Amino acid sequence: MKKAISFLLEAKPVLICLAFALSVVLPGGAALYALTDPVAQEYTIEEITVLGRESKAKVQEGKLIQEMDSSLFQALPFLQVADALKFFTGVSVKDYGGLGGLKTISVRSLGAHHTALSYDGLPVTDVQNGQIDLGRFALDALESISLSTGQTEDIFQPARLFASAGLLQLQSLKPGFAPGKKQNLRLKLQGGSFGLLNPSLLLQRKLNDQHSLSLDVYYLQSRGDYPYLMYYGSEGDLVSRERRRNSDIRQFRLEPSWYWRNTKGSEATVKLYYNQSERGLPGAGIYYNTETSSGQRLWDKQSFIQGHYKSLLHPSWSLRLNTKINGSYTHYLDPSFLNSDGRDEAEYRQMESYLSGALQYRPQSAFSLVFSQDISMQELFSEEFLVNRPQRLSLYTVLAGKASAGAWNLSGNLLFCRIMEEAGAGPQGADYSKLTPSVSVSLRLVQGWYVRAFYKSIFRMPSFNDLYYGRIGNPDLIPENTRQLNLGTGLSTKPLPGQELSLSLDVYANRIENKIVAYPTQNVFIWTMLNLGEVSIKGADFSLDWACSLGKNAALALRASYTLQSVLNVTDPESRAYGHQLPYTPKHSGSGVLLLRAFDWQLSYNLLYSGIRYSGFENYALNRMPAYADQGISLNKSFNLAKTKMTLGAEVLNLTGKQYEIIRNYPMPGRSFRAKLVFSR
Amino acid sequence: MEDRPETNGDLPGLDQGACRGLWILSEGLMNLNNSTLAYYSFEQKSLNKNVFRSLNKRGLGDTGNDMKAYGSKLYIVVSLSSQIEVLDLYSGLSIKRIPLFDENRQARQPRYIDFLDGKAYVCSFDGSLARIDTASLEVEAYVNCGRNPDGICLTNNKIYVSNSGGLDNPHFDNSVSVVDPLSFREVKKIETGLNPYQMQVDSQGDIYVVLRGNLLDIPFSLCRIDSRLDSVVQVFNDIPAWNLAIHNDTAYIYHYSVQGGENSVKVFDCLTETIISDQFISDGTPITRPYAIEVNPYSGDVYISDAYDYTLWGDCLCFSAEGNLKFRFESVGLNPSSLVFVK
Repeated sequence: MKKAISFLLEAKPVLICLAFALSVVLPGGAALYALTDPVAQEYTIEEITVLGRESKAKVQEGKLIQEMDSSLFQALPFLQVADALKFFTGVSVKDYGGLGGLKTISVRSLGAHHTALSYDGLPVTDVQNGQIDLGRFALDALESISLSTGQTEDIFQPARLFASAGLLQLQSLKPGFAPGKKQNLRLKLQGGSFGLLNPSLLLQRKLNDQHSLSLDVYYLQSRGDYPYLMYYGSEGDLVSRERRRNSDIRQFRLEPSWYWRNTKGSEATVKLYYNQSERGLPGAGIYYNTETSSGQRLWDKQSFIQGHYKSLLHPSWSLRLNTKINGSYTHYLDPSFLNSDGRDEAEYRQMESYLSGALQYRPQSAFSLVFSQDISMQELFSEEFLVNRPQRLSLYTVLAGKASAGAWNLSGNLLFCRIMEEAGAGPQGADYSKLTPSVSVSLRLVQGWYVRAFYKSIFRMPSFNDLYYGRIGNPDLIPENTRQLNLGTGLSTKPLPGQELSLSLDVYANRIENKIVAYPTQNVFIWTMLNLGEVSIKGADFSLDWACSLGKNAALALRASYTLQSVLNVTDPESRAYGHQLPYTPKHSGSGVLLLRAFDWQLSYNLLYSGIRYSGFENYALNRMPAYADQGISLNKSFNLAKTKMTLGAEVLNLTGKQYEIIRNYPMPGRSFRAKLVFSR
Repeated sequence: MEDRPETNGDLPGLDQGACRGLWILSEGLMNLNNSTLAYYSFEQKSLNKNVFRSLNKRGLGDTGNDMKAYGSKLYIVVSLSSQIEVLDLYSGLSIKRIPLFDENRQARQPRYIDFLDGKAYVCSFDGSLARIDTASLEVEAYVNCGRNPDGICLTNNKIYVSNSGGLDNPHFDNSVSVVDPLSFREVKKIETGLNPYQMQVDSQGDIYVVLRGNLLDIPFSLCRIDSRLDSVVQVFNDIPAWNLAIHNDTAYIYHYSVQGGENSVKVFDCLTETIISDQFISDGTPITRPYAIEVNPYSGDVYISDAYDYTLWGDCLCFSAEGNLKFRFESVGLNPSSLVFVK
């Protein structure tokens, strides 16, 4: 199998399992970042690791944005961004298990392709797969993660970030210095079960009042050979003890940045990013063949340079400029493929050049108007494709406005996208233009209590895999559309002195049309991408945030969420799967985090729950996957040694050791342990 | 969320020519370990869709590619699990699981099985042909054939293995290996058309080989090997065969069009090598995607499985020799691929 293919089968893990088949083609029976107030980001590394702010209230002017900042996720046993996202309301994370396993998110069951990702305000894209492996991003160097559903809260954004059903924004730690300090240093060493070793270094240096530098170095290695039980049926049937093989990963990241800011509110950033990894692709656990079923390897490299500039041109006019050049390389190898060469190997190279400009007119705080224009040029080089060097030129133009009057808040935008495809001599995807609207309104009923509604219609382009990959690609694909309608209410209150409570409830109706799916055509081995699928999603998201001060030196925080979703296949009324819940979408899911801070101690507990799901299109008993609950705890203690702050931490993941799978036959690790040591000065 | 009930269809009674039962193997899909074995008892009018697991307390594995009976045993070829599962033909209880791995412990990926003189022969994707003693159930020897064998048959005291070269797509193979069972050596490679697949034999020792072309511009076809000459004596370019079954020298050959989705089952006379009928199904019963075809040797009824879109559980339909639908087993499993009738 080609790993790359498995990415293209998003939202159909049942089909991902067929990825193998896809390249075989063998007949016969058997394939981020809201521009937040800069002042709020003025805190030092020590503050972050030691106490930091409490988890921010999630009801922000009635907008649908969820946030988690470093003070919270550093206190929890989370390593990768995907670990934290599992605790966001309405989010399901597809996790193939292990640190190297592919992790993508689906917000409100729309599928991974419909959530855009931004890193320090600039989009992170992958034109080949159309989705990003969120396992790649470590939490270490992040200041916050936020997830907007529907429209982004901040309209002063690159236009590309309006062009998705949801937006995940990752904000890296910006340098901030305590009075009199010129340098912050953080050294972190983490180790744990299954050969985990994870050292990292963060160095921030203040050059003068305007300029500062930051360097982030990160390394991770893991054997990932966790034990698991293989179940050969249901309860009472055969069980064997196995060990996950070929599940190792080594990852290295280097991220130097330069920051500038003047007293007039202008700022600029230049960031270099280099990430490389090598990993085994353990594949599905195959009955009676667990030792050598997959020896597949994947090497990848991503590097980019991005620049950001923001300036207040005039009291009412601001300008933002962003640019990025991005390159990535993937090398896949199956050393035991049964062809004549005895191996299957492929290389993929991607390049993207990106430029974005946004102009904001804000004559008064209650009214703003933004014009934003992006241009992106993407290309791919690979011999695995129908066409040699497909290119895509994307133009995004947004006119967005925001106004508030009394208790009302109104925000809306019109997005125009023009996508142009060039695929040389081969068959190519059609050019595409579309104007899509989005509107949101909120009303403050009383102080702290809002009702809100939004509507958004948007599409996602077929990825290059969808269009051109080998014989699976289909150049005739058209974009996949989503429509979202949301009605909700949020309440933020202080029930008692020293307490803060936020409650949020949203109900929504989404529709996916022309869903791009991999579909078998000739036989079980030969699949093609088709616009075939219509999905009706009705759901309710509930979240609760409660913070309680326990005297001067202690605080308790609770964060909980629950999602109820009906995600129905409404493609073909004649099909036996019509009206059945889509694979891998639980009807009930929820999560909870409890965090106690007392003096220099932090104790956390987390719980993740998913109800039953089905691994096939038919909700038959044989396709059912059992509900699971995953719990973790962590304990951190901080010390002050002269000018150095030291934090010691211990974590237990999957506390009960109960085995579960998110994707069929991809076992998640059982109980495991991690310890960490952090020095900051 | 509640499990949806699986439907069964109107189950037939005891009119199957004294046939007591029917085994139906469904492949499932790769990497899902969801191959299932169903058993229908004509005597008790009962259908158990997951009988292997309920009897043996474990699943078959990934993916059940072929199933045949020999003597009082039922052999199931499980491809990615790389096992031959041997069951008691009558009880369905497992007698032995035979792993097929090479010296580097790599899975051979067995595909099809056939029998001769107390030996089972299994061709595997790694190019090997295994000989298994049906009494001891031990692998006795291996011999190498061509690239990615994907079909086997025995006639005239010789073993024929089709070399598809499917994993070298688009550079498919175009040969059938002839193996002498005594010396257990490949004695000849017969050049066929591109991408040979399953083979069936008639009473005259003719071998009908499904040729799958290159899956693009070279279409599916059929050719005939004369096992006395060991060469292709006839190519039927007008028969785009996907699979076939032969009963009393009558072949039932199905075809499916990827572009239009239409399909047909032709009836072919193996003695005169002519088409008797272009459409076997005479009562207009629609089939979405035929996936397996087998004739009940005791009644002459023709069984065709419908895999729908390969992701939904398929049906197994029974037609009279005249092409009228007699009954169907609904949602019998994912991709029903092999049938064995038990007298």
